[in-house]
Amino acid sequence: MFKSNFFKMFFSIAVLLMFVWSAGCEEAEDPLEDLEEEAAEEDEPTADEEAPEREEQILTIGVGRDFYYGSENRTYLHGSTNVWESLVYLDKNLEPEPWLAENITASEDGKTWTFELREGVSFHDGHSFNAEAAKFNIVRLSEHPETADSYQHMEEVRAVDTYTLEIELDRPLPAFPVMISYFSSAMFSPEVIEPEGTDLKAPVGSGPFKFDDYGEDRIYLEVYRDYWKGEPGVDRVTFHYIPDEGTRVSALQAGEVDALADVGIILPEQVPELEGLEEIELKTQKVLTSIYMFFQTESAPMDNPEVRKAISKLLDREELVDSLLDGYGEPARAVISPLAEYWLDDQVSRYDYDPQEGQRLLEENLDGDEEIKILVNSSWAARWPMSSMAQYLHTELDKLGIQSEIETIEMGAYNEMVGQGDFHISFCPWTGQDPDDFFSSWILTGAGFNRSRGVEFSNEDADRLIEKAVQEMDRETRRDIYLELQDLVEENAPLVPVYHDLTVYGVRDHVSNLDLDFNFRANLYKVHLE
Amino acid sequence: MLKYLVKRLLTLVPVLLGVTFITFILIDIAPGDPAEIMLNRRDIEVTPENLERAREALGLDEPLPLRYINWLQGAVRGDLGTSFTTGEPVTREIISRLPATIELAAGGLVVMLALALPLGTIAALLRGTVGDHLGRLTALVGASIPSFYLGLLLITYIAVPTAWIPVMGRGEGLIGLVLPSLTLGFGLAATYARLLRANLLEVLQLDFIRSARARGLKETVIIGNHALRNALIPVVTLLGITMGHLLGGTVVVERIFAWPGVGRLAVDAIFNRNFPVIQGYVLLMGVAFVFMNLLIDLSYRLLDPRVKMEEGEG
Repeated sequence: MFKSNFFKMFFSIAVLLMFVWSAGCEEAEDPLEDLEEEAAEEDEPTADEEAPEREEQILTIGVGRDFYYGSENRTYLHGSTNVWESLVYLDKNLEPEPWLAENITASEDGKTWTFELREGVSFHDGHSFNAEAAKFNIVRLSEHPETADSYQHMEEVRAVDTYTLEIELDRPLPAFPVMISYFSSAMFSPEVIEPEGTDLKAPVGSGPFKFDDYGEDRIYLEVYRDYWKGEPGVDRVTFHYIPDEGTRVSALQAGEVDALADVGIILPEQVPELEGLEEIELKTQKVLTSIYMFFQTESAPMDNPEVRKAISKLLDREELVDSLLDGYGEPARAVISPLAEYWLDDQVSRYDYDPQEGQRLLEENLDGDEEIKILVNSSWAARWPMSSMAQYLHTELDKLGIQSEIETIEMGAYNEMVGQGDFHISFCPWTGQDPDDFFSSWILTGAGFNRSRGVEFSNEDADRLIEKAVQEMDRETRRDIYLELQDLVEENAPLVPVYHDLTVYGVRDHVSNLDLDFNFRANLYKVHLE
Repeated sequence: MLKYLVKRLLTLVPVLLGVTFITFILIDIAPGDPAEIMLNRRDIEVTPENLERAREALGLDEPLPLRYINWLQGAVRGDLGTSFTTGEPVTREIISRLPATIELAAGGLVVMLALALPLGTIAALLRGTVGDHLGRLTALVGASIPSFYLGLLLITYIAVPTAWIPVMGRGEGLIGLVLPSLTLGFGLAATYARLLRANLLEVLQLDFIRSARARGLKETVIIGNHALRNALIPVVTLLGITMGHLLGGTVVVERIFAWPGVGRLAVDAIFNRNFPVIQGYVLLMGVAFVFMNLLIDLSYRLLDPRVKMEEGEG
């Protein structure tokens, strides 16, 4: 009796579990298995070609975000995948670096831009890259909501001959090649561009690796042997999205990934854990991302620039970088990234720590009964030490007898609150390229981030200067205008920079030539595995 | 039996209508405009024109009841819409992640049962002894230790040094399931072991157990056939709820082990106000709960003869 009923019960539970488990396992096809089978088939020497067998080289890169964006996105996949390429990138001095365009020239009036395209480039589907294909792409990008802004002054795009493309603008734009660099001039085979709308059917680009598959947080790529620069060094690349920072580092230590390569992929506090491990090389790269503290400038007390400047002076940026980032950052001296060296004044540090002056200004300009609301976005706080920065500021204000409260909320509610101006101070990351990026997004009256982040700064002189700079063809004059604008922003302080990001990434010792650039992009073409 | 099954399955309809409609309302009143979130996510400038265009594209310009009816019509045809963030069909997104979730849920349950049943029974039978105290201490540790911490401990001290158990992800066969299942099962086992112990102790005090002893039945028969069967009824009820939860994904464990389940999909969808994915997920959860509870109700028939009698009389 005991046995039969007891076994019945366990049998039923076991059957239930087996059912549940088998449902999971049956459908759980292992994408790697397919790849391995395929690879094995490909590797089998045929009667015609008896090439010596070589072990397939697979590079697995761990990343902290999903690089798969889907068909509606401007590029389908992140640029780091190396599946697609652009007409132009930026070099380490943030100057345009022609890529699929070999040469870029402007007419004297700065309105006509001529792109001489690289010959001998083909897309992964065999379609040739030429001026018609580039034109097709530029039209798509100019209509795509994510890139339309870069082409807002484009009047016409022409394929002059097989390898010459001309873009006509309605105004001089000296920084046009910078504005369309990287994501904004990504080239795809015309065959995959939907005839209606701006979607892509598939990510068929001209990069050293072809898209093969996507599933279970992994992007599988295979080598494109006809790549215009020659055959890449590895046969396959897998990007594995690993959301947890601790797991990422463990995966690198265990050798489950060959590299962790993306912005913010290894947190500064994780560096000691990896330092000294022979099989892992830690690398750093200055990136274009900076962290800012911004103010809601429309209502008291933050409508007073003296208060905003005073609060900025309470921040000891050196100390913040040392204590919160273990030195993996650069204390900000200007609103523009130090990588954009040409546009900065080397002699001037605009955001020095001066608590006495800060205290004096606050005492002069505050009644003492205000309560400052510091808003923190929890999604950003998981990648940058914004909660600690808010806490630091709260403590500094508290020392001066000023009440403040910190509110940490998730992205959706955060966007709504800052959009409605329901805060006094907040922090955010921002990545820009040309100085115009910064001023046209944050300072120009009614501009994108100026409005959507609730800053609502408005200054007629600033608007005039921004409009003038963006059209100024003389580089030195343009630089002078941007220096003047930096003075104006320092004086009005609608937002202030805190630090410029320095990203830490790691590769295992059998991987060579895997380096990130300031846009966190690795050039996978030159990577080799030993 | 068939009539009972049909009746129970029919209750699925109002349950699903209720939960999906409530979710629709809750998402609508939650702070954060999905159109604005989408624009920000895709680096598109948030202007009134772009917002209007995005709302139109996402179908948010329609009034709420109409949106719900449209969604329902699609759902009946198996079309749960497309994800706001990837543009992929929601059904495909959920189905592609479901196997991983089911696998993890099953793994967690196996570990949980393997730990909880012997631990709970032994602790009750050895009440007041060192074994009982040890069992209770283990249960306390298990219930107290956060799964993210246990997961990291297992990764750091087992996966990294040994290198034969994967640190993360699926696709390495069942070996990849070991650490996530242990993490999930250990925390659950603690609760179940304590529940089973308490129930078993209560049942062992009841008259019918005394009668059984008076009739001279063997202690193993008394415990196994009479006491344990009765003590398991509340455990099985809780199991139904737990299984429903597990099929909804275990966000923390999925995150730590980079496990591609539905839990993370749902959380990302909530942060992005990705209505179609949230609705699809709620639908899945509703079905999972009703289905699991139905299975549990059926299992009562094995555990408790009175269930059969009531049905027979009715």
